[in-house]
Formats: sequence, C-alpha cells, structure tokens
Amino acid sequence: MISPLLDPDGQLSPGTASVDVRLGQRFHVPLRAKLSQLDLLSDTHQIDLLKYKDDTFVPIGDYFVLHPGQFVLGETLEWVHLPKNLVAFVIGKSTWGRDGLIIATAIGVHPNFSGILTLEISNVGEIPIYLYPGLAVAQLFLASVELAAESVAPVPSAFQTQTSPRNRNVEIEDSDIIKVFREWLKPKQ
Amino acid sequence: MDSYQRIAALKIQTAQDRAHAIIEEVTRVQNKVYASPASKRLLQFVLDAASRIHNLLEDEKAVASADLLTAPELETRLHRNIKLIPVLHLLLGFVEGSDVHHSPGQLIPTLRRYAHLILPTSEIVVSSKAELNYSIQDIAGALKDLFSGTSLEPSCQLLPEFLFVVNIPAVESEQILIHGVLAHELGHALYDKRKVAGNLLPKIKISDELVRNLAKMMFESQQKQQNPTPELRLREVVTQEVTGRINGWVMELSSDAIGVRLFGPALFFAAVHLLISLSHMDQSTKTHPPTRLRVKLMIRMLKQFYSLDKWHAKLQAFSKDWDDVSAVPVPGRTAFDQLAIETINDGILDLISDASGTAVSAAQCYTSGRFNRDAAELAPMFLSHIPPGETGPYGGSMPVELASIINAGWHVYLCDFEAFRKSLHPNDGSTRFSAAAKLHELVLKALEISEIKTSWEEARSISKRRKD
Repeated sequence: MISPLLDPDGQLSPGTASVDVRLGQRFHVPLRAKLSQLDLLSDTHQIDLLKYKDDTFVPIGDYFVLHPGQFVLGETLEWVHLPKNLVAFVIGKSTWGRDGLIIATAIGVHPNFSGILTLEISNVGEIPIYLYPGLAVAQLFLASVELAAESVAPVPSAFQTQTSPRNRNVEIEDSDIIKVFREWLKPKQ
Repeated sequence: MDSYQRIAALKIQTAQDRAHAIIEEVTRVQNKVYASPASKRLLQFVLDAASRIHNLLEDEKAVASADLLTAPELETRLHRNIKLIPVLHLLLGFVEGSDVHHSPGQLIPTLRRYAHLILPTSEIVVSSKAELNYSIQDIAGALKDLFSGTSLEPSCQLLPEFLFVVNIPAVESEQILIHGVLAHELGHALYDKRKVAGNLLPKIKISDELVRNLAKMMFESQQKQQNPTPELRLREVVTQEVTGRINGWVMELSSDAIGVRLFGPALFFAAVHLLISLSHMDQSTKTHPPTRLRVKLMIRMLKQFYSLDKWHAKLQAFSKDWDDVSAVPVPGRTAFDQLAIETINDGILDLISDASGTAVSAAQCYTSGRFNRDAAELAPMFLSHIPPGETGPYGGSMPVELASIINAGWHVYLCDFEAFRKSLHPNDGSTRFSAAAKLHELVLKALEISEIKTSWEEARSISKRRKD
C-alpha cells in the first residue's frame, strides 16, 4: 500500500517496473557548527546526533536549497506498507541524478515494513539544487519474496512506523566487539 | 519649553523607538516559514499599525512643542496612541511559536481547512508556547473593538472576520488527540455567529424565590454591621451576579454542545482528558461552569445522539464512569455559583443541546453512523500501522475528514492501546508515553495525507483550467 498516490497513472506509468515516490515535507539537516566529529562507536553518539541534526518543515510550494557537498535526510511524501511477500528498493530518478542529486543509499525496504521512507539526499554536483516537496524524486522497485516466513511472526524493524526522517536510537551492530579490538590496540601499562 | 513639554517630547521619542523596534522585529520574523498564512497576515497588521503609530507620533511632535494644549490634555492625546503599543507586542507573541519549527506543520493546514468549512471567513494561527496553557481565542473582534475610533482603525481592514489564535503547550504540541478540544472553540465562534444566545438565554429563568431567599440570608448576616445594604439592593446584586454567571456558563456549555455536534465523541474524550488534569471537578469561575456540569451535558448529548450500546465495551465502561461522576450534585463554591447551578438544571441542559443544533448544519454534524464506521474501518488501520488519511479503491480514493481521523485515533487510544503498543518496535513501545507519542504521530500523518490529497486535487484542477 502506498498512500497518498496522488497521480496513479503518472506514478505507475505503463511499461515501467517501478512506482514514483515524491519528496516529503520534512528534512533532517546537519548542523556542522555544533559537532566536531561523528563517532558512531562513542558512548555519547546518540546525544551527539541530537546536537548534529535539526528538523525542518518545508510545506509544499516552498523549497529547500541543497548546496554542493551538502547532505540531508529527507522523506517520501508517501507512506509505504509492504506485505510479507514483497520487498522494495528505493532508487533515485535519473533526471535528478544527472543534475548531481543522490537520493538514497540504504535502498532496501524489507517485507512487513510500514512507514515513510527516509531518503539520504546529497548534492554531488557543483551548483545548488532547489528541492521542492511534492515532486517525484525517487522510484520504488518492488519484488516478490519467495520464502515468505508463514510461521514466523513479523518482527518490527527499528525504522518501523517512522513518520519523519530522524536518526533512530539503534545500537550499532558489533560495536562492542570493535571496542574490544580498540582496547587491544592501546599500549599496555 | 516647560518641564512637561520636555517630558512629552521624551515620551514621543521612546514610544517611537518602541514602534520602530516592532517594525524591525516584524521584518526579522516575516521571513520564517509559517504553516498558516494567518501568521503573516497578523504580522502585516502589526507592521501596518506600528508604522502608523510611528508616523502619528511624528505629527504629535509639533502639537507637543506648541503651547496649544494643557499638560493633562497633551498627556491624554499622546496616550491614545501610545497605549496601543503593548497590544502589538501581545500580537507578536501570538505569532512567535507559530512557525513550522515550533508548531506541528502537518496539523495547521487541515485545521484551517476545517475552520473554513465551518466559518468561511475565519483564519487560524497555532502557536506553541513554553507555558502549560491550552487556549483559543478569536482576537479579530477584540482588536476591531479596541482600535475602533482610533487612528489605527484602518489597519483592521487587514484582519479577517474571525482570527483564532490557538495556544498549545510546546512540549505537548504533537499530542494531536487532545487538540480535539478545538471543536469547543469553534463552538464559541458559531455561538456568536449564529446568535444562539438570543434564542437560548430568554428561556432561562432564575427562580425569584431562590433570589429572594439568598438576598434575605445576606441581609440577615449583615444585620450586625452599621450600614447594612437594603434587602432590595441585595436582590439586585444577587440577580446581577447569577445572571452574569449564567450568561458565561451557558456560552461555555453551548460551545461544548456545538463541539459535540462537530466532532462527536472525540470532543468529549479530548475535553475530559484535558480538564481532568488541569481543573478541579467542582470549581467554577464567573465565566466557566464546573467541569462536572460540562461533563454532564456532554454525556447527555452522547446518550441522545450516539448508540452507546453499540460502542466497544471499553468505551461503554469509560462513558459509564463519567456518567456516574457527572450525576453527583455539584456543590457551589459560592452562594451565587450554587444558585446558577440550580438554575441550569437538566431541562436547561437539554435546551442548550437543542439550541446547539441551530448553530450547526446537518452536513457538518458528526453522526453516530460515522463514528461506528470510523471505529470499524479506520481504527484497525492504525493497528496495522497505516495512517488512515485516504480510503477507497485504487485510483478513486477519497481523503478522510478531520473529525473521522481524530475519532478513530481516540478509539484506538481508549480501546486497543495495549494491542497497538505491543505491535510497535520495542523502542517505540517501551513506555506508555512513547507508544502514545507514536499513535499521535500516526494521527498527524493521517491528517497530513488527507490534506495533501485534498489540496493536490485543488491545485491539479486549477492547473488544468489554466492549461485549457
């Protein structure tokens, strides 16, 4: 389920294998002046992330200027709800890509996901780009999953039901193990 | 130049500095993004009024330096304009916190659309403030009255007929279900606009016997004083005090009644959740009736207009608790309150309920059938983590209305909250508060989807017309 589908014929045009998704109204903007570095293994990294990012709301009709080299988290306007037998991949649209706009990097969306999709937007071009909420900036490729785990109850992902493009309080996988390696590297007293 | 002339010159100078500071502030904040155009409209009004004050004071310099007026006359003349400056500060305070960084940008367009539907000439500003204060007031009428006959009267042309300023506590700004109380405030506007008071108040009679008894009691208690007030005068005082309360209380109760007609059970749920933590059940003021009386009216209306027996068992139990509580007699805080409470009996509550029907058209009423449908169709969507902003078949879906989304949200909150909480990721469902916050987010998202769906269609048809 994708809601709202504002232009079903346009977003699901015949002959293509994807659904266009639009840019949403909220952005999570880095505040470079607030943080000297981002260390995901640091004990304070969740607090650091709060300092590092600021939420902003850009209503449809207004715009957000993305400067060269700038990175922001955006969102899809659409709420996406996948059944247990579908997986999705978010890919930027080539029209924008040719202007230097990278839309998504963590592109996989798992079965049973429900929420807005966070877009990792970056301007790798050389001139500023105006981002207008409401415009189709990405496309969603859907694929069926053969081994739908009928007997396993779906486990909600950490990004389930997200309604805005925020960082989540997620423990970095294997960070404890890497920390042990770091201790080993320190000179023994 | 005498002493007062020098002081008058200083007065003009400092007032001009103040007006200038307001102009500077408006210039600074008008570049912010506001979810409601009314914020910028209000800023335009402030800018216009501040500029006028500044220019008028410039003209006053000549008057002050001439010896035409006495000091008291000049003081009065200057004060006529200067006294309006604090009002402009107050208005700037309303706009502050209404930008999209501070108030939920997804809520305001939907609310504005709804307010337009009920009162086409209205505008809203939603402002988040640090203080714990939920309030809504129509400031357009008050400003027009205040500026009427002053040199700032022309500025009022920039104001809409109704300008609702909604204050919500910043830390609770996203607790959207509680904002269902907005229906009560729209009720205030409809109470005035549809002249409900004129129809209702003449039917409410204060018992002469009760007035006489109270006046007599007051007279007797004064007997030991040297100059007791005559009993006849005391009767007048009692009548005035009680009439004042009844006028204010009936307006509040009628606004509740209109709110129930507009938002249905959601107004009741929001009102009791708001009032229970903020006000004493039996305390009243000259303008506001005791909470218990308000609950009693709302419960009576729910029983009359909604099939409570078809409700979810938890909702039935919830309303039964409130029904029991509201059946307890309200003890008046003062003798005047007591007399007002005795006057507004069950018959009067029914009159208020009936009169509220004249303020709301049938199409605007949130019906029992709609509530049952929303509970059956929309509430389960929240449990499946789908914000119900649109419903219907693929390619032909329709936006869901504000009242339906709020009622469905309340239904989940009151009937299926634990199931909803368990369905969430452990981080989101770890506490009752975090799970409730998630539900509020989904309700807000549903409102956003509904509004985008509606406004997109409008924009599309305008675009098509232009192309054609």
